[in-house]
Amino acid sequence: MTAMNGPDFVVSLREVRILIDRLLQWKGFSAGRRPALTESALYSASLGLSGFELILDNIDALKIGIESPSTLNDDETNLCLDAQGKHAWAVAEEVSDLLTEMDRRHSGGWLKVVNLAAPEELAVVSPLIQKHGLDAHIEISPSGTAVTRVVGPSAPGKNELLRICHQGIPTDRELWFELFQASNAAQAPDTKLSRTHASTANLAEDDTSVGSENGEESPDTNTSLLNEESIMKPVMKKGKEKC
Amino acid sequence: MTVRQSEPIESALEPPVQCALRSATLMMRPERLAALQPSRISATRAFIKQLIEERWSFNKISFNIKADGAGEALYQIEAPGNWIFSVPILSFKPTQKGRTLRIIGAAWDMMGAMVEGRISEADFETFRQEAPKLYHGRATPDTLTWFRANRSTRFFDDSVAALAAGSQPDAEKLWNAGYAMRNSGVNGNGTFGTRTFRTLESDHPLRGSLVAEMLSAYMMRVFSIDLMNHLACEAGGITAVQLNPAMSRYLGVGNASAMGLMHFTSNWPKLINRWMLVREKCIERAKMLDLNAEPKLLDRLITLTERAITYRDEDKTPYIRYPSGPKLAAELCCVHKDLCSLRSQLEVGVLEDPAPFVGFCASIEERFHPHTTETLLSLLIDLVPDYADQQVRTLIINEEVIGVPEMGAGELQELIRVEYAWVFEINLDAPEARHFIWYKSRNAEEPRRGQRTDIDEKHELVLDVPRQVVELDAALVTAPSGQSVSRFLIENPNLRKIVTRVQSLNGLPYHTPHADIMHRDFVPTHITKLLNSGLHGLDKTVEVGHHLCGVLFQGAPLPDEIASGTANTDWTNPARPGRAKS
Repeated sequence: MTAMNGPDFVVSLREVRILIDRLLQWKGFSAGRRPALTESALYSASLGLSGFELILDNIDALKIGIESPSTLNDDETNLCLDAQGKHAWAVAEEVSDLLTEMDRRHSGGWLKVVNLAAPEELAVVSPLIQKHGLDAHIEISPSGTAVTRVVGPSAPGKNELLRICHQGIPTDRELWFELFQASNAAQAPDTKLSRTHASTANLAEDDTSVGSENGEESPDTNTSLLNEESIMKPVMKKGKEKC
Repeated sequence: MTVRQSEPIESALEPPVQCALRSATLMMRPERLAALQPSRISATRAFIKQLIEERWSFNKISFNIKADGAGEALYQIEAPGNWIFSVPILSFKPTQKGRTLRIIGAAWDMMGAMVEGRISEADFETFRQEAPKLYHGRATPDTLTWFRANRSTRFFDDSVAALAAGSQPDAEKLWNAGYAMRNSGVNGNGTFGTRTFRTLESDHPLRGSLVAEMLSAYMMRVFSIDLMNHLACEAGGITAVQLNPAMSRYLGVGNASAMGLMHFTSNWPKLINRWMLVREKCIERAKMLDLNAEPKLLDRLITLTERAITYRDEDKTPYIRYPSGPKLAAELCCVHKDLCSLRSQLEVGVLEDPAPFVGFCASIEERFHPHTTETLLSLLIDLVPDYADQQVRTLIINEEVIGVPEMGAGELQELIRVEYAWVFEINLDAPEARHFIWYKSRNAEEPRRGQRTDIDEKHELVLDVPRQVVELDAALVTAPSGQSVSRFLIENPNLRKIVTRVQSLNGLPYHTPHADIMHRDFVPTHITKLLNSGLHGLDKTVEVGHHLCGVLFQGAPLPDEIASGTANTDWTNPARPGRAKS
């Protein structure tokens, strides 16, 4: 079976999570927030919403209002969450949490979400809440207000995360590798100094090779590799270079 | 307070262990973690046991490699239940350009793939085109892993020359090297588009944690021996001989790990916990054995100890931070003497203690180096083989983290005060704390650790558990005790990751090393040693700077022995070549 190109190009759960987390880190989102944003982006992509396109084209939209915590009214079962203008991905996990809490403490209730950017993206709450064994209904009014509620336990066999594990997320190869390149840039730049942070086969300040004396690494290692301004790409002869 | 168990420590069907498991306070200190030795529950050993028990077969379908090393090979592996795996291999002419032990290397002597089913020519062509591009390449959906390896410069060429001339390689060189090829990376579980391991079927032979990786490494060994024999024939013609079985068996697969396994520990806390728990449960089960009822078990332990003494004594590897082979051998000799004394008591009927190993092990712990104690405890696990094997089968872990939104803030705070008490004993404000930053480079995603002054903090990757727990605790102090976590996180969204982690790991005793990994004096090698020696089961794990080198599968049976049912199940701690019976 080959699924390498065009519409058959499929990416895995692991790849998506790593890539999105790196891009969010690069954009300065805190480590504490990133997993929730990543899961929203993941499900947005798997549901065919804005997904990867938003990440590539308008990741800064996620920053709007991000420093303003949402606010909640005091009603136990008829909640209203003011998202403070944040993107739906930034509050989706909060919505999932509140619905779960209401279901477990009060066996149900309603949650209205107001002042929300990209409200249609709140659909990601449905797969998000499946990890708690629940199924949610999300309704978006023309004004952009979302009304959500738990409609029961998630149906047996209905699990979007598992579906992604099995089937991956089909995407456009060009788009994916564009994101991949961007996420790789989010990693720390490779420098001579940085190369001294990992291994015995390192360079001293005078650029001489220092390190292993175990008789294996030194003769095996082309130390010029460590001294180069940028490290080469794989030099194996087979395979084409283009992504 | 009631600490909710995320995962039950004991299943309902399992009788409880009769004496207490060792505490996380003792076991999760990095120095102690580094002392854990290979055992029956290590990945390499559990995997070889599976191969032997299930009599897997390994067939060389094609081997078209020229004298300069360039070419291709294809293996087919058959496991019970009609499971078939194909292993296409690309072999390259060795080059010095881009060659390094580090993963930033850009050239390898071989690349392979573990593919489910019989590989089609189209998929082999895809592998041929894509694998050499590595991070820019794409595996077919039936691929489980991609892997790559380099020849040992200390052993490979000299051995081929000897075989070509009609002689076996120099035993001393074989002893010093221990392998003909060194692992340079195994990637799977979704990387490069490979299949997600979580989706492997319930009867899939590679479903257990690390099994697909172990099979990949075993195939490096198989290929390395076949390649040496093949190149010797190419060079020597009718004069050439094959590497004899004793020497072949002694060859393992080399490995070197640096900073990457600290990331693994951070990302796989449930696996770390479960494996530690399995180990402790096996040890406690073995300690409770009634030797009066089963006296032969003591004979077995004495035999295992004798073999360990010989293996250690002959190991002249220049360890730096950890005790030398001869030092361990000397201490194990004392343990052996005590065991013989125990046997004498047993023989004359004066051993009344129904579980004499409990006191015996406590005595060893008091008198000897932790590496000696843990060596004995690893051997002890072999006395409860069925229980240990059953426990290994539970090492199928789902690392998804799930929070508990309805939990009260007060309950959460009590949880962290109990389960993370060790965090509050660390001086996180000391000048030497927060000295390091953990990150990955853009080149081949090499994990690195540098001074905080050298690297922008925005690249920080590894989770700083102690500081995040302290930050969470401080925020919880001001939260109403009855406030739900869901509402707490609305007010404190930046704490969501640590809250979810703490809740998800609730009740698991062994998930996180008790250390400030950012501290100037933290030694990453301790954690690497836990994983490579204890969890993976590498022997001779020697520190070389930041790297921990070692060897997998030394002494393990060969493919034809496994297939024919003649494999030696007692293969660990092999005798030095020249003494081994072929």
